[in-house]
Amino acid sequence: MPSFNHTITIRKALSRAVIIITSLSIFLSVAVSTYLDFQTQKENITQQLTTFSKIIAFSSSAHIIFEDNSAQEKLLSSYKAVPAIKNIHIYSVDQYSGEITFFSSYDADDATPLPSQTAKLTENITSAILGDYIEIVVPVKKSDFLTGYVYMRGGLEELNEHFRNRLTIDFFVAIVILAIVLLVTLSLQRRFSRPIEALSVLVKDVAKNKNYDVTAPRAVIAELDLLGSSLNSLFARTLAQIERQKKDEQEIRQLNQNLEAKVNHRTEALKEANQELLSTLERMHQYQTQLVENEKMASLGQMVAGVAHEVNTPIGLGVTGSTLLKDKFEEVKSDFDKKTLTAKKMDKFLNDGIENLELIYRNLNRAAELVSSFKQVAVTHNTDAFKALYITKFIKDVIDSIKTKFQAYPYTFEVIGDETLNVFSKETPIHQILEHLVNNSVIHGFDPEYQGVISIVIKETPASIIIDYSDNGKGVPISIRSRIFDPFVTTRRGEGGSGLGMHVVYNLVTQALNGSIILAERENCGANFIIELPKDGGEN
Amino acid sequence: MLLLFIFSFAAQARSIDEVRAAYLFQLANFIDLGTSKEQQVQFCFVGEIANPGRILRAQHEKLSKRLNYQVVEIAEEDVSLAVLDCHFIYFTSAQSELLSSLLPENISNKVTVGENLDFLESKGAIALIPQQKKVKIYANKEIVTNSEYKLSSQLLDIAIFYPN
Repeated sequence: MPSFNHTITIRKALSRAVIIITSLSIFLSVAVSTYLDFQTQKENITQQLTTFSKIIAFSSSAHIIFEDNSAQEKLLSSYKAVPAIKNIHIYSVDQYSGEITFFSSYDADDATPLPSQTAKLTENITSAILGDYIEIVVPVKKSDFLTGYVYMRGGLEELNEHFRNRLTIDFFVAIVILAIVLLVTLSLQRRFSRPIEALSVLVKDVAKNKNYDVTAPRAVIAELDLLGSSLNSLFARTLAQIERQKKDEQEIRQLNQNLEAKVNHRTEALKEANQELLSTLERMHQYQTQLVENEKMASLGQMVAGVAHEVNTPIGLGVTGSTLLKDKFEEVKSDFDKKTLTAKKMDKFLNDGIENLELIYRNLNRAAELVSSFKQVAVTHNTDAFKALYITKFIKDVIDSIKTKFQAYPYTFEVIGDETLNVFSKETPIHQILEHLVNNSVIHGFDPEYQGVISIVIKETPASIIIDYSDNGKGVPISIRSRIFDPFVTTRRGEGGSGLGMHVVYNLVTQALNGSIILAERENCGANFIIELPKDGGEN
Repeated sequence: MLLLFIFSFAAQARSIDEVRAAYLFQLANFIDLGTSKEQQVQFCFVGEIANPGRILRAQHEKLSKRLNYQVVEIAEEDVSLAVLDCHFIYFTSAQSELLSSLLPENISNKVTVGENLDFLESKGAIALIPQQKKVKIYANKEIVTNSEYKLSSQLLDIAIFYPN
């Protein structure tokens, strides 16, 4: 974040920026132009003196060769008209030995005579600036052969004077420009800063008094005028916004009051509805309890009715047989007492008695079997413990023992599954389940000559095993499918079926083995039961 | 001033003949003979070769690098034909008066060089005359002006015309 400890007015910033930029521009311009001018002047003087030297060299060749010193001095003295030339030396080169010797010279009135400059002589044209002087050396040649040298020393007073004059003029021009720029800047400051200050005062007043009902004055500067117009627009919009806000707040307050009233009303209604729901729920609980009790009673009644129905027939026949036998005994006793008992009567009595007793025995035995099957329905007395079983192998063994009873029939049994599949379960319930299922398939599904096939497929899931039991018999009638696991449900009432087999199977699967059993939907394709048992026995 | 004195002394150290030989040699550089640069310049001496000619011949090996020249001796009886190939014809002081009798009339393309003013009066072109311990170049303005060769402005600048 920038620091705002030091602030500066626009007026000062503007004047400083203009002065600095102008000063730098002038300085740069003067420096560059002066440097370029100095270089140009220096080159001009060098060029001028070099040209003079070349002219002298051309004119001096005959003087040197023919050793005419007086003509040479006369020639050199003519350069007095050139004030920049201070000293001229002419040197000759001996044609035979090449020795350089002083030949002639010229010294301006204001110049000091120079000693010999032979050390500076070269066969090329050279120029060098040494302090306030410029030295030129030009070789004198005739027919491409060196015959001498011209050494010229020129003064740079003219150049320095020109440079001083130039700087003085530039300095005064710069001062005048800066003064003009300062005046223009001050004028611009007033033109810019006054409208800005007016706007600043206006904004400050608005910020302090929250009074947006004001108008910024027009300004001559287009941008500031635009700023003033924008501020006016802003103030107007802000004022309108404040008005709308006040109106909205009023509406919101009104809405809040209405909302609170509605909420209170709805809360009361909800309380009443809630109370009503609680009452309804209480009644529903009562109905549910009553329904459960009714269901229990209905189940109990149904079971009692079933038991009574099943037991009633053999017991009734037993009672009839025993009553008939009692009548026979009373008839025989009467004949015996009257001494009218003949051997024929006795023989008939014995035969009838034996027949009655057999009838009584059969029906009592039937009743006893029914009672025994009733006991099987309650599996709670099963005391088998869970243990590890190779389930496929065990089922194969069970089926092998069961199918011996059906050797006379053309039935086929097949058990398919992984023989290494190991589960934690009980042997006896599984045996009983398979026995019931096979008996049901044979009794209800197959006719005696039917090529019945019973198939058991054992499959594995991560947590359970699936025993898929199916046959190719008549299947389960649709009328009893939904009640197949209910007690006393049978299609062979009075033909020896008690209707308890699948109920017993259901109880064994769900209670003894902690599994589940369903009747799969296979219409006209035989019966199919899917039994799922937990691998770990399901006791946890 | 000391340097000037030393220079003058060095200049005086050479003999008049050596100076004349040097001047004769350098005249070839300041006179346009109308020949090509490659053409050999012939310095001819009538009769016995004078001292300047001997010096030029002696310095031929060194000076020929700067100018292709030859020093030629012409017998008096063969002058009329022999001078046709010459560019410079040198006459000693003793031969000054023989100029008109020895040379053919039409030699305006030959530079005649003598050793005194009498030579110029005898229609000679240039004379190398000792004067105040130096050798000055004198020229016969009429002969030089009417000749086929041209003296350079530099040479004309230092030459003294005789007769005026």
